[in-house]
Amino acid sequence: MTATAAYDAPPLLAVQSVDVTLGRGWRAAKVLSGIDLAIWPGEIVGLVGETGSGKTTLARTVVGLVNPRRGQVVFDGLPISTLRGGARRAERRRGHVQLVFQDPLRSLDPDLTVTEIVGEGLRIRGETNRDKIRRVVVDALKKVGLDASVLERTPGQISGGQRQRVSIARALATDPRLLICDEPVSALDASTRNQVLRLLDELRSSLGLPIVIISHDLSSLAGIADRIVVLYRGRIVEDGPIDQVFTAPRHPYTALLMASAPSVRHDRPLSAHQLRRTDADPAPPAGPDACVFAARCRFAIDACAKQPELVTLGDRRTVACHRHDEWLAIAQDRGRG
Amino acid sequence: MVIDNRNLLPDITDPGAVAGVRPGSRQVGGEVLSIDDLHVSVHDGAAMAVRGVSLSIRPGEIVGLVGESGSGKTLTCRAALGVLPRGCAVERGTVSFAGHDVTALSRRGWERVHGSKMGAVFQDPASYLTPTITVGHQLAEVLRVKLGLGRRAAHQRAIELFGAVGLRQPELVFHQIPAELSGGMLQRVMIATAISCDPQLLVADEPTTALDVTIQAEVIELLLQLRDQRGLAVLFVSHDLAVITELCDRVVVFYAGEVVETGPTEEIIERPRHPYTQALLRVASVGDFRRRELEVIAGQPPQVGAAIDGCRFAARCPLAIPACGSGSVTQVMVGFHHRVRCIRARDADTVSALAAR
Repeated sequence: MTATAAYDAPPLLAVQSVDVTLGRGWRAAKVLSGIDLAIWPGEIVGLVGETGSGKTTLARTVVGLVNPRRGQVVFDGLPISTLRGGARRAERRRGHVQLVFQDPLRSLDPDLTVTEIVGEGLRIRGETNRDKIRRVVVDALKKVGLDASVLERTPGQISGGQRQRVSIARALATDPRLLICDEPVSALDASTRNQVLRLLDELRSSLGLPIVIISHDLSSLAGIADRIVVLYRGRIVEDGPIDQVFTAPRHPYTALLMASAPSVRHDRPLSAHQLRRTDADPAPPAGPDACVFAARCRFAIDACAKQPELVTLGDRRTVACHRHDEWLAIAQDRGRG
Repeated sequence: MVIDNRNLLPDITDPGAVAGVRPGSRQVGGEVLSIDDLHVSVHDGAAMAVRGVSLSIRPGEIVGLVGESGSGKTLTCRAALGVLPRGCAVERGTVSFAGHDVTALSRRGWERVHGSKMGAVFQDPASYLTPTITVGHQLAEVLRVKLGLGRRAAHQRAIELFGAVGLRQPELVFHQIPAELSGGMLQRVMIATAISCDPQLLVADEPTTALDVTIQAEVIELLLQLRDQRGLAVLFVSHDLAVITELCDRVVVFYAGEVVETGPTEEIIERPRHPYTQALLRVASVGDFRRRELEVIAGQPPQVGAAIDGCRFAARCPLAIPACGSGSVTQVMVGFHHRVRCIRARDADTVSALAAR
């Protein structure tokens, strides 16, 4: 793995059996169920899943914008999700955990200049000294590779890659100890995407900052993530070191994600056809307790009528699938036939 | 300079050897769309954002336009659709659709083409649908207006179309409003609407960029299936060379408003000759997710419409020589249907840069 992450130390962030329900009454929808996730200092974790899988909700829960229905979020020993009132506001103002929101064009105020955007967190924290704010702003911009020429521009006047850098600089201004980036590169073209990813990798190395990168697309994690966590319909289905997960995925959904990722080379071990359900397959078990992936899984059997628990397969490698050591052979067999 | 395949068509002796020509196309020959020396100005004529773009699409062919944002691929697409944004105008060149010049077509004239002969899908499907009306009603409306179907027939046809684009339980989807459908389902609704009148050409501008990878793979398969079954011609725009590779028969690479390289997909991927295409390939997703140094293309693309002497990519090009900075660079033929706009295209260096990858 990486030399920077210290896995024998206690994790910096621990999300413990968190359930999140959004909405009330008949509109209530369970968005996250039984999420267990730990982030250690100095690692880059990729959180992958499709739209609606709960990636963003998980990020919002970690920074305290959403309250878990069950379970808790512990940051550096402090259960931050159970804080209330003044204690919670104080914790938020400290800005230890920073979230870089999706789509900077929509999340940055179009009327504010870059200086105001990046400095806002400091002002909220009670910093009134304008010179100091400006110093921190220039410093944060330098960290993300932007010079002072963008200071007085508004988000509409800079390029997409620069906007994403401004978003990251805004998060860095309060000296966070954990950075969560929600889809940081999904709107960027390939070269700019790689630039932003390299920047995140550099920030991890130079500041020792652990970073969670949320993405629906595996290529946004290519080359930089140490660990990958796959989310499907509000549940973690696989979690492990990236090289292990990508060389030998143990959950059929992870394999489907890999097979679906577009690539300029056509040398996939498994094709999406081998993994996708066809109309010929027998109907999967359904019901409120069924495995979240069963409806799309080609390998579902009767046992899948019950949601599998996450089982540990080895060093920091977990998977939630009843057939985690069986489905691959079936898929390969199908490819031959 | 002009990419014109008309005269080259009889040369094709082995159709299997060229991805661009497939057996089973509705009709081989006669281009669906032909763009010739297109110049598009932006900011009320202040800058020229598209300079001398020429391309053509035959029935049953999927042509991919690839390039960074601001390279002119979307403007080219919009000019082909006759829906240039305010302040933009075709300054020079022609756009021909099914043999007719549509460059200066009136609004009324376009109405007869849009929807019925030319379909379009864009990046954000939700913003092209009315949020308060059921998606089935919106598709049925198109069928009633464009094809003159009755209420019941339009309803029936809409459900058939929803089924044809792979929406499960199309009868239920008919009665749902956009907010009740996922992004992938909405894009399928948009594709169903775009192909509802059996158009000859589908213009798809980044249709999968906002979708999940698993859904993206399904939409790509759907487009391939429509191409094979209906002989649909598709003009597909994407900034992701990996997506283009999965889908397109031919690739047109844009840089700063110009076509810098064009050819059959396999040829472009295996033997890219323009340094920009080579750089694009290095930064594209290669299906390898392990830790490694990520490549970037150094520098920034020039301002839209900037006046540059010589090659427009020279400032960022690792292979640039003094001669690149002056004169105009014309396209040269380097292989079968493979054209490159680079004065060093035939030099040993470009070939060895390729080998060094």
